Amino acid sequence: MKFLVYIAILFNVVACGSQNPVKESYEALEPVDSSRVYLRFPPLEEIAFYGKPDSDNEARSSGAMLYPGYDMVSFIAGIATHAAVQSSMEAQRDKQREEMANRIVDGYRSVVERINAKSIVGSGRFIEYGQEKVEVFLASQEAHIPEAHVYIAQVAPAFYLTQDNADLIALNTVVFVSNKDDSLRSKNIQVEYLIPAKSPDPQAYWAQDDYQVFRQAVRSAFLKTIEIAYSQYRQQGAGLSMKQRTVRYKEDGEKRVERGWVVNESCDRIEFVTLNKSFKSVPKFRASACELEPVAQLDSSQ
Amino acid sequence: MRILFIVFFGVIFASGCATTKQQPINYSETTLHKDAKIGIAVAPLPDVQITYPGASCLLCLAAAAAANSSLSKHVDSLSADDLKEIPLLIKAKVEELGYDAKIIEAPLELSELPKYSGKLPNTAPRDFSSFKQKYDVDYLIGVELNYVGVQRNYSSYVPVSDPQALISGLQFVVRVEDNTFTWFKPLDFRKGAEGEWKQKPDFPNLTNAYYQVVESTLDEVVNTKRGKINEGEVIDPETGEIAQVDLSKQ
Repeated sequence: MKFLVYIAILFNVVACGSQNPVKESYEALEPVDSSRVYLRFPPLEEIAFYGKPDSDNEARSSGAMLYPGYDMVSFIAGIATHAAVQSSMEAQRDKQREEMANRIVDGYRSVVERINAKSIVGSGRFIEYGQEKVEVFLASQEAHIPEAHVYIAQVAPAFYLTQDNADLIALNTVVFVSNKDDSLRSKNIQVEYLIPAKSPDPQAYWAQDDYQVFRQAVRSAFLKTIEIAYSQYRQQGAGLSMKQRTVRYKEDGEKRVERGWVVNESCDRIEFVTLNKSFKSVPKFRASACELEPVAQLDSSQ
Repeated sequence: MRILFIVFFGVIFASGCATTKQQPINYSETTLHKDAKIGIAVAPLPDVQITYPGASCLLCLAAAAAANSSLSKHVDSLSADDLKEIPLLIKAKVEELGYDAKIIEAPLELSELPKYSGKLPNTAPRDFSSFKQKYDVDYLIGVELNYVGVQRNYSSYVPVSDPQALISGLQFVVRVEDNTFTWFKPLDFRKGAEGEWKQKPDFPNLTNAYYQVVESTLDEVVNTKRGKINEGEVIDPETGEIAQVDLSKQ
């Protein structure tokens, strides 16, 4: 019996020794063709539109409670029950707020139902990275991804309208992957891009030309999120070593304040990394004296 | 002896009840006299802190502190440096209104001023007359912040609210000639985190709430229209005036 055990151990040692070693060297990849990016949407390629709820400024409070204290068990059970009831009520309240906020989209239903990945990416679109122009393609519309080493951006966009229709916000989560090596993958880059209506009557503004202004703004905001994510991916987070500061911007006609790291600033816009590590590009609260770019020109290409 | 004891403490309690709290006084055309010389002084800023109202026993306090140790550590790292701009903001606003103003560099220590009592309404409880001699001012604009930080309400050992950022204090204008308040405004700004607050170790949503109350304080110290910006009102970014938001559209 002992002899059989020794033979089994010997075979296991030999088996371990004969496995192929882990490949420690990788074939050198050809350089990335950075003149184009292929966008890959979630399977149905539908674009979601929501209403943005108003900020909930109050701290959640349940008020003072009296817990039955006949013994330790009933006291703890009272607290646990209260906590469960409280969280259920808060979840219900949040859901009601979201449902109320989403009603703002009803006025645009006929327009947003016709917006999909193909309509916002289209063809002949470019984003800018420094002096470079990077062409953007919709992966599902291309017959095949070329053999060259290129970037593929997996995107998951959603759009929000603020409650007074004043702002359109694109929220996109972008992950860059390589078509040659699955291990080459960026972390999730979340980008928010806000386009304000340039009129005291925002509903009329978006409705211009049979909502062509609205559709252009959607397309422009989406491409800007790709541009910002691409820039951050290529720069590998440069700018985050700067000092944190208070950023003041305008949203829904009101002053909003957030803390973050400013990565880009122009006369009327500011781009910063939030404390939640997402990227935001928003109009400054007090723009300097410069011509605000009309919506049509925000689109990098027509 | 017992009667004397009762009378003695009765007088003390009665006199305490007779002290009236200063009511807010809105800014108006009579707040500052034409051609007045105005001094601006600010009390030293308190440290940024976290407290647990309602955790009244020592053990409750220890339990609350232990349960919120990472939040407390983060609150220690928050900065109140933006609040140091208050005298500069007030000076700019006062000069915009057409007055001559100067910032008094010495910190405003209200408790070190001699007590004062007068029969006129809105008399200040402290004697500010020394500012006339020392700084040659007719009016003093003072700001004292007595709490800067985060607060979480407790009921003994049990938290009953999420933490919220809080800045409180007061702002006033006193006519140094007769120690009368011509403007008196309590400052109280509270804000909870938008979304989830339990985001260790940096608590980003609660941190944003803190800097938002800092911003609200900076906006309010130069707001001359009301005692406080009320719900539904925002400061017009172009004019600095209060613009009423139509609440029926909310």
